[in-house]
Amino acid sequence: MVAVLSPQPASARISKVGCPPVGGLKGKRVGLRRDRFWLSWDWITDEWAQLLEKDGAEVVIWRAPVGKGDKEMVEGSDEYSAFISSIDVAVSGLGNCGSCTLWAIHDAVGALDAGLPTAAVASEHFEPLARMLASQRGHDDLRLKIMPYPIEGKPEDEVREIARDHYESLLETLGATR
Amino acid sequence: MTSSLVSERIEVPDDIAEFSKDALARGWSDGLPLIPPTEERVQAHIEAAGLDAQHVLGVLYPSGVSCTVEQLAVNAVMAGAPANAMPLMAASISAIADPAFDLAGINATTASVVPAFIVSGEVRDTVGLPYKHSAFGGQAGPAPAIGRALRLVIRNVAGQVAGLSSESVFGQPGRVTGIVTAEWIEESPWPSLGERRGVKGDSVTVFGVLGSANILNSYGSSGSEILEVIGKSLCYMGNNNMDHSAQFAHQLVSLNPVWARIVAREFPKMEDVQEQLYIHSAVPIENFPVSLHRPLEEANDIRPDGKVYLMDTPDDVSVIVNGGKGSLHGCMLPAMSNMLPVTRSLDPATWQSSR
Repeated sequence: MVAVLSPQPASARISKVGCPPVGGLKGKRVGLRRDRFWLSWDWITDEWAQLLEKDGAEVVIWRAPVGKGDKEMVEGSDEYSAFISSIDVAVSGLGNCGSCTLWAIHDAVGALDAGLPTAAVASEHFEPLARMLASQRGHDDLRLKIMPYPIEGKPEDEVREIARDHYESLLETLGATR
Repeated sequence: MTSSLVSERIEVPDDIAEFSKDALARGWSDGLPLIPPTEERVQAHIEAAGLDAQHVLGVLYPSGVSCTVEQLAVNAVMAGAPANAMPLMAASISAIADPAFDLAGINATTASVVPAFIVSGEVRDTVGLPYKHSAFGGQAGPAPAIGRALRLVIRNVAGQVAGLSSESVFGQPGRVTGIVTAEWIEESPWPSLGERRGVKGDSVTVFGVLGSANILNSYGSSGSEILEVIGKSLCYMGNNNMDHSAQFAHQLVSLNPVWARIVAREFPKMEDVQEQLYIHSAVPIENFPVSLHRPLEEANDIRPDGKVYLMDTPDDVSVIVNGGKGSLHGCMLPAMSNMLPVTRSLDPATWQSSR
């Protein structure tokens, strides 16, 4: 036998404060984070925005930019900070591929760390990745709304119907009451 | 340089075959044989780096761990990478940790992307990197071990594990031994890649590539013809940056020395070479399946001339010169979208993140 050095760093367990529920929805500003990847996510958040407004919430939609270079990345990060400081509740999506799941969870954790009731949204196939990324960032308990997979590439009407069907479950995930 | 090492000490079999089995079971391995990273071996690599063992090279994702010289050295020993490549490998880790490279996206994505390291300067000969025949793989030398060391860092420090933190549908061979090559600058009509990107002397430039593919043109009568063939090859419909969801990408092309001379006779300036590749890497919208017209239109990807362009501007392609003088072939390394190449000098004093 011989003594060797581990090639892996010792795992540091991060423990952060939990994910608060939304509670009463009426009068709250709900921020929906979009990205530039999925048309289906635009349609889903469009439907959810209408339903949230019917339930008395005010909806703000923010689209995550793709940073081409450091300047844009810094500006994107500043924009996101401004967005989360202007809302009471965050919904971050869509985790529907490897990299977009990473950024959806990254931004969800950013909102959680700012103390906002938050849910991330991912499609079924990407749930394990989303949970692992949340756990790595100290949030095993991240509220995660799971959507059917595949969802991109379906007809718009069908996607909008799926969004409406999943609205109640979104509210449950968020811990929101009417 | 005196360094105190902080990695966990673990007793393992000293026989290489047994150690390799043990390392695989521990989740340290890519499946190929490994050298036990004893303290003595690791210290020698750290000494060669010329940096303190706890010097942080950058934060690597998805794990979010700050990668130290010590962690690089442990993985480099395991991979069999030579100690004299430590400065190059340290600069390479610093490069992939730059936010512009988007390592987080690269390591998590469904795509097969892998960092490709292009080395400029005299370090090519100090380390013994390939740049003539089979420059991208196949020539005996230290490049595969260096590439593998960087891949083991991605696995063991950045935490990229297939099917767990990486959703890559197919992966690719470059995810095992990496892609490490150098320029044949003596045969290049243009300044080195590093110099064109603002770094003189020894440097490494990292690109996120989806693999390498050969481009044959056995006629090769003029620079225009060669660049047209390459440009039209680059914009194949499934190139990541032809997709409506992609925002930008940076393609990499290598010209063999014979083609480089032919091209430079007609296009002495690199900007003109890039312009030709930009112009030719475009596809008329009617060539796309009808179902893709709407997504491409909504993404503003269709230009007034009715074409979808692979690149936003001619700056979105880099051209290097290497490979054998048998000519006939070019090499393209199509890019992952939404990330940028990053160049690092081998001088650590310049490694401040640009962010």
